[in-house]
Amino acid sequence: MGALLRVSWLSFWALFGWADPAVYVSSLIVGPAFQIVFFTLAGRFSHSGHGPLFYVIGNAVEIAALGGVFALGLILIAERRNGTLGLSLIAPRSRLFLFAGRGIVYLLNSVVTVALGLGVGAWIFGLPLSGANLGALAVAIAAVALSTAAFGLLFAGIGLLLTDVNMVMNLAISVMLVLCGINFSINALPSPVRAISLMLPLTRGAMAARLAAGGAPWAAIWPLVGGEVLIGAVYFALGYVLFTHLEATALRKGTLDLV
Amino acid sequence: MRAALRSAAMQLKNTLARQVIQFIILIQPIVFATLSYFILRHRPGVDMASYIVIGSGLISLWSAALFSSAGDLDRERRMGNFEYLLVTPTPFETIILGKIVGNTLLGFGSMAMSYLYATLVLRADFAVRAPMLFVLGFVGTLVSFLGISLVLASAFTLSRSARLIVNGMEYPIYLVSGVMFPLTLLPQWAQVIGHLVPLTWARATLQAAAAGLPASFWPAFWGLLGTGALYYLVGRVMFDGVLRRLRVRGDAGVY
Repeated sequence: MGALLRVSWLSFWALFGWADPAVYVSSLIVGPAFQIVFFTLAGRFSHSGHGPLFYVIGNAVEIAALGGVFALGLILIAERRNGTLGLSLIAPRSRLFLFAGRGIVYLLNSVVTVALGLGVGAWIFGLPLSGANLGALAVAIAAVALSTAAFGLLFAGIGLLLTDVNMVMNLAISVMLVLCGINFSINALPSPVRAISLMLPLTRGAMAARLAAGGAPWAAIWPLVGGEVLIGAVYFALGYVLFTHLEATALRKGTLDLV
Repeated sequence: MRAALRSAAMQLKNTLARQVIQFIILIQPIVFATLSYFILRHRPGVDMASYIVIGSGLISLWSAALFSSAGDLDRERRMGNFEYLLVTPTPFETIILGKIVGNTLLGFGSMAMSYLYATLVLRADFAVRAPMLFVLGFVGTLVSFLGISLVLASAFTLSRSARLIVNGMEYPIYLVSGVMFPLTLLPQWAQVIGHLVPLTWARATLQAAAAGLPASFWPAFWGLLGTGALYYLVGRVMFDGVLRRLRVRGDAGVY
């Protein structure tokens, strides 16, 4: 476990440690906070019947998903660019240990980002979070971070075959932004599309987080959190199998180090 | 002029091959058009089609300008071409301007994508009541984006972290430019900032042309050209300063 955390911290530090603090603030604090404000104001303008809580919590949870999905992708991009991806794959440690383990600090960081985003949103729009079930809210956010990281594993595997991992990650996060009920209820979607949204991570997590922020009891939140974790487990299994398979394909096709 | 056009043509070819730009031009307009549709459809009395087509198109145009300005320089630096570009007989600024023209033209593809998706899939009733003014608005947007992109390119020339910094520069600009809701929802000071952003004027110009309102079009059009000219001048001054600084420090190729 100690080695796992050390690998994770070093990986995170390698990406952001050398950079200007402005980079960290810009990508992980300013961007997400403004996303929350942007969609909350759009929601206020729309007269949709949803209050600011709906948009602030939805987008805050989506930021956790952003951290989850991009965690592995960013690592892959950095490894590939520095020419060390092949070396990582022939290391004696398992790929799961190396890649999934590295995502831990990213996930913790995304929880910090979400907390800051929530704080900004609550402050600007005067959200009454005093009655919120904060413990359940934290659990819902953690569940989203984990399930979307598993989703990210799936897309990172696909990224092994492409030259631009960023595109795959952006596609994944865009699909979730549209289909997971972040800025409008999934009930507005046509039935077949709604069925897809229920198969994605984040959908139940966002519902659970909204309930928790509204002060709902644990009993109402657990089923949704459980569903989110279960979906995450399914994507993790799929992602691991696909990653292993595509890794072999990328080695065979010689696309592993394409930049 | 010839060098800038060649640079633009080469940029178009190179950039079209990049998957992240394909995403910005083809997928991002669909994402934002869908979000605009589902978020705004309850709002009575709003020209939703205009927000969907123009708003989501301009959002992608801004993303294309940001990510390509940052990504192009970053890539030149990483591949070791950056120092050569600085010492070629053609001024560096001309090459960059060509790249910016190429990127902006590509960005307009996102507007076409927004239109096709909104009208064919979302069945939005989008009509341009003053086509000539709309075309003029497009040209004004192109010219104005040259200015702001020059400023961005100068700033990114100095930074080795440009790719990461741009991640935080999308939503703040969307917020103050009124691409999904009117600026009047913002506090006065934020509206002032919004009027310094070409995207705000581009949105107002194109919306006025689409609605066939010449009285609203012309002030917005002059605002668009005015901010574009202002940023172009700032960009020119910045570029000179940045190039001087790079030569003094000798770290142009440091990645």
